[in-house]
Amino acid sequence: MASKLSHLFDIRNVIGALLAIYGVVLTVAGFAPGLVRERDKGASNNPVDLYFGTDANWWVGLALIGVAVAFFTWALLRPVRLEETPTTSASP
Amino acid sequence: MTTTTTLAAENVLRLNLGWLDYVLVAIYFVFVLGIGFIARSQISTSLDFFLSGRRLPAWVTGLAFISANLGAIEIMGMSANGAEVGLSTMHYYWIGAVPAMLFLGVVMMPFYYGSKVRSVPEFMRRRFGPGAHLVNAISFAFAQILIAGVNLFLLATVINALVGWPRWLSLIVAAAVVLSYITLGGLSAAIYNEVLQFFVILAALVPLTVFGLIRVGGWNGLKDKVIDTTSGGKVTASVHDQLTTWPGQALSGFDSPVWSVIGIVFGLGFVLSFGYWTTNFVEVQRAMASNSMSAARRSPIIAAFPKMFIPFVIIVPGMIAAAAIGDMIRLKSTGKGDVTYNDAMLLMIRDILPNGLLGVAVAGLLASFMAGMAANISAFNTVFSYDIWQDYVVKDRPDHYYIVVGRIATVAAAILAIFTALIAAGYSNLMDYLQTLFGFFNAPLFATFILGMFWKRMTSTAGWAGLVAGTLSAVFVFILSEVGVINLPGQGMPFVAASAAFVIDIVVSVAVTMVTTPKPVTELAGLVYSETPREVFGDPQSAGKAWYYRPVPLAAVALTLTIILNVVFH
Repeated sequence: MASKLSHLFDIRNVIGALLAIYGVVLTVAGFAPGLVRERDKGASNNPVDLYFGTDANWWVGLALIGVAVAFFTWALLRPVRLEETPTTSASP
Repeated sequence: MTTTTTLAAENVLRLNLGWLDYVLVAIYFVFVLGIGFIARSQISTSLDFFLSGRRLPAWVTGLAFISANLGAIEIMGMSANGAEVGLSTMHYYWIGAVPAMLFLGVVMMPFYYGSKVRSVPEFMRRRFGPGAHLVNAISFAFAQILIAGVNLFLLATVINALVGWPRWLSLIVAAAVVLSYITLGGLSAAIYNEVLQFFVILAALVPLTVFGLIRVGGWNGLKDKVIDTTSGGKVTASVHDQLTTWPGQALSGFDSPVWSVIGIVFGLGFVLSFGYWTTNFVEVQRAMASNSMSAARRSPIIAAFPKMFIPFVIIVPGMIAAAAIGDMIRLKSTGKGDVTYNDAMLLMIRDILPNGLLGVAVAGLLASFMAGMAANISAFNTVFSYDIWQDYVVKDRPDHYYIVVGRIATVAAAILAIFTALIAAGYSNLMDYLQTLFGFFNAPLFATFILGMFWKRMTSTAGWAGLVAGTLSAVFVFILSEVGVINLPGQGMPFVAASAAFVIDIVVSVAVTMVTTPKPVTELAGLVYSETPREVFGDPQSAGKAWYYRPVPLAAVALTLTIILNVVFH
């Protein structure tokens, strides 16, 4: 049980989980822009229109899911060794 | 490095956050507190609480090393510099950080990790005795509370400008969150949250930069749109200055290109940055939490790689803001306007990101403010508990007693930081002065450390005398420049003050050593290079490993990359 918990709470899985949640939420919001109101851009005096629109959400969302998968894979392939001796590296 | 605390008037920066943005911010807070609870289960000794039991892998301590420095003050300040002086801001990273980080990993970390000290001031005590130790420990502890308070004040100001929450609310919420996860999980909680923060802030900064560049027509489009920076009717940074890194006159403030290069290389690159990166316990503590000598040495070296590339997502957005946002262009061409340079990053967030990503950006900003404050507080509680309380006040208690002291010190630090933030709200100039002054403590510290590590004759009296003389000479230069006796524009004053502190420290240390008695050689093992058996510095576990597991080859690659970056963007 302790080993399962410490595997689940490996910091790589924690980072992966947060990025995955962000990724999924942003992807859904990007493909269903009705969920978020199109933002009031206000009176802008910018010579270049910088606003990127809600499509930006799913671009970033998919990228974050990719990064999250990379973290899960890393944690799976190189699990933390439980016997912590001061001379071995727990993970690369 | 100093920052000012001015932002634009309230409504200019206001973001229209929707429910989705709040959900994303809330999810982040759940993770932050969750990490505190997880890390709590790993604490059974004071070493677990203050140094994560020295068992973290190098990539974690390396990312925490960079992240502890990647506070929101740094992000906003450096994008402000990017907007004002352009690419020469890169010097703060490529000259003012990377070489010193590599030096820390290759040369100094063996002393810190090999001597098994638990803090940088503790090294001071073992090498030079209580005089230098007290000067170092007390000034460090004081500075951490001050910086944590300024950080908290800025967090409240930024959240107030962006979202409209009253300042006292975000002040108390942020302090309470930081307080709970550090009291629960100690340094591990701080470090894990720093690693998490690193990825959240990148998830906001990278899209900001990419989308911004797409909108202005790529790198070439941006280059075409950069305009001269004017202040008081005078051009302070021409377009050419902003698109090249060397000789960096707009940054250094020196008229002569030769002096500008000397000022940047010696003042920023050597004295200021080596002083900051190699003796600042906030940074070094992260490396000390590593699980082996090899990992401890590699953590600042691993950190050097993101440090090299992170300015592209901090400085470039600042440059885009200055080339494409109306308010910013007016500020740049007239020297006045409704916004300040410090707003560059916030204006970019306002103008580029849609709802959804706005939530990620606000979470990232909150995260970097809180991580900055947590870094200061976790360094403070260690120095307070080990170096002040255990060494001078209540000695020889069981180990568990000092965990309790650490937890109480954390609560006290958070409360003091709130009060400091309230003072900062009323007297922001005072805070700027104090921050500048604390910046002067690092240059003489570095001089004293490096002499002490390689010169066994150097005496204890020389240790504190050099420190005090060096610090006073920096303060002296600062006062001369404040009252106008010497006139150094731009970054010239900190460069000169730090250089003076460094030189005076060395001169006084050598002179005092000549007339005082050195410590017996037997007490210097592990502290001075010539008296330390080679196997203490040895690294048996990296023999035969790939180059990226060994500190020196990894540092060589990092140095080569930095040189290439300097050549490409010269």
